[in-house]
Amino acid sequence: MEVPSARPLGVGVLGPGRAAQAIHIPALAELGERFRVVHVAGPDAAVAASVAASVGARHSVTEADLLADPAVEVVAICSPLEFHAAQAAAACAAGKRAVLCEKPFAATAAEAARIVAASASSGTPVFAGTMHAHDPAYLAAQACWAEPAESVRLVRSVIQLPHNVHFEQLATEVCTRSCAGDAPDDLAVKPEEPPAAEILRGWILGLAVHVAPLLRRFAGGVDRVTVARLLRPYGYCVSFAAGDASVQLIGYIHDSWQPRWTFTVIGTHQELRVEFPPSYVRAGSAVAELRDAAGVRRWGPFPHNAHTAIWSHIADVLAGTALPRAAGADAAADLAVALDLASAAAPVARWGQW
Amino acid sequence: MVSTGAPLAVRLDPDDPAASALHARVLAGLPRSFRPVPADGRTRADVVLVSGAGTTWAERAQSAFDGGAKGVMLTAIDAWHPETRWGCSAPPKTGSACAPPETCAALHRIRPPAGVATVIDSAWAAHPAVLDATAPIAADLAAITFITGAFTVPPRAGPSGRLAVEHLALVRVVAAPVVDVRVLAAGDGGYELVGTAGQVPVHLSATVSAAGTERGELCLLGADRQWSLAFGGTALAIPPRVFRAAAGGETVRPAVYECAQRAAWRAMHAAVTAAPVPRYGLACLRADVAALTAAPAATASPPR
Repeated sequence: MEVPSARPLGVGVLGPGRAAQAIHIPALAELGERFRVVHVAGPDAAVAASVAASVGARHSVTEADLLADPAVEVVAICSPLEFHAAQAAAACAAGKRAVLCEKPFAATAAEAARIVAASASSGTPVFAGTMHAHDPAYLAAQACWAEPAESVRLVRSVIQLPHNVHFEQLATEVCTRSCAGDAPDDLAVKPEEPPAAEILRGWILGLAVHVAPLLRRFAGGVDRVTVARLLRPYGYCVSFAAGDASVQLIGYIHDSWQPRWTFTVIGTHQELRVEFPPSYVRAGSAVAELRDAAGVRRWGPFPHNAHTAIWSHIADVLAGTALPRAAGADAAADLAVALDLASAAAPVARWGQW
Repeated sequence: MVSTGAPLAVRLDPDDPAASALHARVLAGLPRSFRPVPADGRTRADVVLVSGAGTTWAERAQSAFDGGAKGVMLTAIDAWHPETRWGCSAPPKTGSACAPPETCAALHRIRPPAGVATVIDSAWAAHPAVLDATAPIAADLAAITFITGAFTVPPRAGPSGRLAVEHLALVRVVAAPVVDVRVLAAGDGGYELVGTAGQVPVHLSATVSAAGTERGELCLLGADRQWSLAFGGTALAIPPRVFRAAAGGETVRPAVYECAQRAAWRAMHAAVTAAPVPRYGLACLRADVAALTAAPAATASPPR
């Protein structure tokens, strides 16, 4: 429900990197009557200044400066994962009205618990950036899913995407250290390939985590990983059992142009198929299809993509017209699915064999 | 292509009225190639349909070979039985709807005489849209690094073991035989397996869905090119959507409005009258069943 507040809420962006520039700042611009970026903070002053200037905001190089800014009412944490917990807790302690923390929500269950505790003690809702949980077409379709968890037979997530840079350039003009007049980003390849389990953990927390809320919704948790294979050039194929359900997660990053992002659930009597657009682009929502004995129902595409939907939801929560979704303990529980999967997959992670 | 000679006489399988009715409808669309004849034991047939339903299919097939048939069409052969733990050595579960595991051994017992065509009625591998795409796919195979297929089937689609064999057939025809098979799950609700085709990892699954129409897709993924073969209902002439995506865009192969069964019968006619070897024949079926039969369960992480 969109109920514009009397004035736009001031947003502070911590970490003005690609996610902030290509995802959140454009999404916030789309909701200009509800949000306004007022402060951008990052360790690289040139980048922070450049990004801030593009939206008419102040800039600083520390989170303390941003959190001390009374104009910042809502904080968007787009910084590297290792800073999420501390920054989210600090934002809560600073009395901010809401926090959106990019995915993964935290690096460990303990860090997630720290965020949840800070949120509970301050009353500041902390939302995870798992945008698919907010996609309007997915939300409408999953609300009509009537089967109990134990009747789910298959959950399958397929994410086949070109490299991120392909879509970032379609969403904005990304400012990096080089465009800000500084040294170029360090893109050097690590000389030694990390162990398979470590790479797989990166894939799960970096890509598969997008669907963690959906996995928890339909599969519950992870009972037993049956296969975890890394794919060349870049990707993974992971299968696990969750109760009687078979859960299949495929990620494949390629050098071509064609994206595919699908999520399928098959139950005893119902079938849900969702096709999401790639991240970054302003291509509207997913298209969702629910099939059962009564026929087929379809939702979407709606004008707002899932990123805009998150921010719209945060505005609704702050306006008192919605209860938080995928926030706090829920976000931590979603993350726990991804962390559990990474741990369970580690012993069977392989490069060259199943 | 329209047949110019006399139609081949076809004897349907009296032991499987449902399969016979299905194939009779298909043969009605090939009136100049085939002519069904009564299954009365007295009327000579050029071609015999043998269904895997029941326990005596191998004997019936061998009987057809021995009786001078020029061709035998095998349909619905349940040669792998995941319900009995990879099937061929253990007895079937009591009340199992599957054919008994003797089927698997029977597959290896039957011996077609030289020159007699054996065609497998394969739901996906025999489809002309698939066969037409094999050459361009072959040109891209060196660039493919992952093959994945996911199929949704209605309950009437048959045992999951039969589906697995059908899907291995599809991968064999478009890429390479699947070897080093590991079965991750198999049962009444479907199956999931992994293996290797050439040097390429393969992941295949089928899920029985009471809600869904029959559909499935096989994807061959490479860093700079991808192939997709997407199928609708196999009993209908819904054209598979076969396309290649690469730097220059997406190239869709021509739509072929023909069901795989009709294509299998056309292949049979060609095999009998002109002697080309069917792309997926008895030796291929035996090899795919053997791959499944030898499959160990995948190594899994400890239960949590």
